[in-house]
Amino acid sequence: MTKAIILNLVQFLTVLLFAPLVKGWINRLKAVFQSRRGPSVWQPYHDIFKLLGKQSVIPAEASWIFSFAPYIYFTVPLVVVLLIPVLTTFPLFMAFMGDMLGGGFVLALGGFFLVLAAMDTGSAFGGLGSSRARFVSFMAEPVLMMVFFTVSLATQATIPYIVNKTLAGPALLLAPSHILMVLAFFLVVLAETGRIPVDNPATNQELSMIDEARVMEYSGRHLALLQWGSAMKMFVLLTIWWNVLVTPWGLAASAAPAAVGLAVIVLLAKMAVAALLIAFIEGTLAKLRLLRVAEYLGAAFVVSLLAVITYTMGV
Amino acid sequence: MFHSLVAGRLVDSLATLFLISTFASVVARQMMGCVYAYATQSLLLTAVALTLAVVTGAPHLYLLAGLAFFVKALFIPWLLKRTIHDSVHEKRELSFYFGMPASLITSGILVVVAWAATSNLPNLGAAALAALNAGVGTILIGLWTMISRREAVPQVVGLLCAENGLMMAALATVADLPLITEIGILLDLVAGVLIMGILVRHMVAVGRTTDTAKFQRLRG
Amino acid sequence: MLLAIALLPLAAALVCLVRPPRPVMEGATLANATGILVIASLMVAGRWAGWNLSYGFLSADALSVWFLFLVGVVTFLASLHSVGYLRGDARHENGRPQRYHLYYVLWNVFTGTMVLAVLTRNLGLLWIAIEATTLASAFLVWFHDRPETLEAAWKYVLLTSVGSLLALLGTFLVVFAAGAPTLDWTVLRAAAPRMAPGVLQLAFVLALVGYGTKAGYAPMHTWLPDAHSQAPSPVSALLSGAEINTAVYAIMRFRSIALAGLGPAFPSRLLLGFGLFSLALAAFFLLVQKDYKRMLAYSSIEHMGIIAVGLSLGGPLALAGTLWQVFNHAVAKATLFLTSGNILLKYRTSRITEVRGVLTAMPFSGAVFLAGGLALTGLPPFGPFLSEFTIFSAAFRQHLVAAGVALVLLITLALAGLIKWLNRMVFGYPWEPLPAGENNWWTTLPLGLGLFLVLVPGLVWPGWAQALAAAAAGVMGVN
Repeated sequence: MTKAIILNLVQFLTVLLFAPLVKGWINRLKAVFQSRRGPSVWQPYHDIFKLLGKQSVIPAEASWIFSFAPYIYFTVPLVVVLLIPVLTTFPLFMAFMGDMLGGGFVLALGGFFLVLAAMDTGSAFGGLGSSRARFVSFMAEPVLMMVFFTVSLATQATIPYIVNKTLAGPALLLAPSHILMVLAFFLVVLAETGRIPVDNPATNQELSMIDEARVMEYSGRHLALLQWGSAMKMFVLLTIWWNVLVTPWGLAASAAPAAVGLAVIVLLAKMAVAALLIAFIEGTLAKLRLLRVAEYLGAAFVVSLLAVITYTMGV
Repeated sequence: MFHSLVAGRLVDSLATLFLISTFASVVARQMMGCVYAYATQSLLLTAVALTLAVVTGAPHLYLLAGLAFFVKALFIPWLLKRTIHDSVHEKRELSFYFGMPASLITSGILVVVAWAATSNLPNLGAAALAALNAGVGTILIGLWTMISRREAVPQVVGLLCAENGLMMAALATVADLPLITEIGILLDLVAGVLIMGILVRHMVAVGRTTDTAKFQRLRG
Repeated sequence: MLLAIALLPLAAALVCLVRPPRPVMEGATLANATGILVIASLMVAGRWAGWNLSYGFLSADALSVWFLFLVGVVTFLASLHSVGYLRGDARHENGRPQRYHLYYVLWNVFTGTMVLAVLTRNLGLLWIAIEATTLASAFLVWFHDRPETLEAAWKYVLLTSVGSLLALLGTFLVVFAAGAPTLDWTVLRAAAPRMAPGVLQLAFVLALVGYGTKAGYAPMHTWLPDAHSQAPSPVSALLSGAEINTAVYAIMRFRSIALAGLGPAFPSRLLLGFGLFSLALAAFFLLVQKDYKRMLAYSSIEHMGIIAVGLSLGGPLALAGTLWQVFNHAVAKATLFLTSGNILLKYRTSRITEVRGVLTAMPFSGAVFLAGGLALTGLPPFGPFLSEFTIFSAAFRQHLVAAGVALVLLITLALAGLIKWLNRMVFGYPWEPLPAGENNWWTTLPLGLGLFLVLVPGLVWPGWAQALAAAAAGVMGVN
């Protein structure tokens, strides 16, 4: 029992501590692709640390939601961590609390509160960001649903741990539906985390912002929590992509410290590859116009639909 | 024809990527994007032919893979690139008659139709079925691209993609056909692309545009 | 001998490729055409081992010989006219002389590919040859450099390539269904009864739609009026007279396979559907034409429809009638296109309303135009009347009354359209005074020959021709 609690703690800590590192990697790699030196990979930590020490300014018109939202946004990815196989192949004791759909809903909860908080400030940019973020999420939902359906159909389960185990064999891994599903989910990850081609996270032009506009009014410790939370959300989504869908290997089969340590390193390696991929995409593509995002997500939807159909047609 | 599970699954995956590259050519907004999607598709076709060659050991499949690589993945995209760069100066962004989301959804529906039509063919192994489905689906999507695009170059690329799909379907079903037929088909293809390239150049010379909607004088 | 007839066009093309002076090119082309006709006639006369020959990839049976003969006749007529047309063209238009060698090279290649298409029993080679006819004639269609010809050539190449693609898929499916890696038509036909019906049905549909695109069946016909009307007239004659017939040849081959494997019901229904639809569409469009070459192109679609209906009927009478219809239509259409070339040279316009009094301005051409037009509508005493009548009677004899009645009605409708425009064009006096008389001997002689060949089959079917037709029908599989 204690072992399980310790393992859960280790998982929390992994996600908590290494999420900003992944963000730092992406920024650094993007700079390298653009022939710049770029910020240090530890810069997000410095930012968070600095912000934690600063005073948080709250608009006069804001209600309790404004102060409350960052805490929810920060906690939500950690709750999802309980459900997904981050480090171990065997389910930890909270794993059956919710399945993939539940995890998806919990993640959406954080975004929901953030949207409310952004509108709460009464600022125009907040409303802009909220509506656009909802627009993107609304169209990403069907894709996520289709991916979940495919996965559940293929593995006859919805609990991520069981999916992980079942997907590990070559029969399902190289199946066409699997490839399509992986592609569709990756496209959605790009949309949900607000990377190019959906949204430019480094932009300072408010009229083109989607996610950044929601957090414009925040400062101090609230902003620190939001930045950390968004880094953790990306980490969690990428973990789901890697560990549940793409390569369900490299996880610790036992609770031995060596195995767990190795699992952490393997996870970081996977994250590094994902960072490279995302940085490459950010370096080569341009941000889509807002209405073209609908086409982008439409393409993702068609891919996921094909994944389901491929699977049901028995190919 | 498909011996081991890994080879079968490999062909499966390659066929799926083939289908994805067809979708890439449907949604491409730049002329060169279409051509690159076609080049990728030809590469994947070569890979499938090569896998088949390794698995069955038939020498003519190696030759076919080589021919497909040089002609379809290198020569024809080079031809198209030359045509685009030399002649098409004004408008290189592509437009759709029906809009991109409608095109995408129709492509998806066509793939489903293709699978429904070919799913009850007998004597096929599972892996060959994936390749056949990808091939027939690509044929239908290529034909759809020809209908739904206004410019001349994507219409040609649609035809070429359909031809790729045909070759994929042929690999899945009748891979043991004599090579001379495949060579003849490839020659016809090259000649066809040459002719279309020359026509495109003259379209630009005559009408300053490759928009086929502007070439509609003959009616009735 | 098969090799000779296959290599002759190639030799002529090579001669023209080195840009010799014009008379040499003309001579080579005429030699080619004469050679093809002579060899084809000798083959018809059964000079070599009956009607069954083979040499390597090439092979000929009765059906091949029939089509080869009509290709030979049409090529001969069109080549003769082509010489005169280009000379007349050079006098009036600022013809660019450097393109004439391209014309002659492609002309010879085009005829060569058509000869090759009918001289093979290998379905793969058949496909390659038919696709090659498209590629060779693309630039011939686009010979006069105008936006309309460019559009016509573009649609032609694109649409027929689509059709060829589908036909190739159908070919592959037939081979797949047979289970043996062979493209030989005789082997495939023998294996047809053992093929899975679903696959064979799909394959036949694809082959019919694919080669039907090349043949001009509606609704895949949209390239035909454009291409056949924008091409120079001798090229149009070859296109309408010979090229679409090679596609019909391919359809006949596939029909035999389908017949052997699926029985008569399925192929007949499909062919009947396409035939009647093409006929109806062409008949309606004929009523609203403004361009006389386009009118002739729609008439080609109409006759292709009649041929398809004839094929769908089956039985020795209908098949013989269909074969005769193929020949008669080819000759009549070629003659008419050549005549329209003469009219174009004289009147410098292809619009019907601007052409009047052809009979007065060019008596011989006018007479041939009138006679040929009446022939095409199916009036006696010309050839097409007899063949169409045979097809009707076969329909009624097989108690397919609805099909027969539809056939008669639609042909009458087409007749109305065609006669209306013929009437406007042929009689009366020209709008502006024109120098009366023909262009030159080269453009007149083929018309006379063509008229002869249109008249004679309407009056008598020689015994040897009947025997050949019967043998060809036998090859196709009479049921």
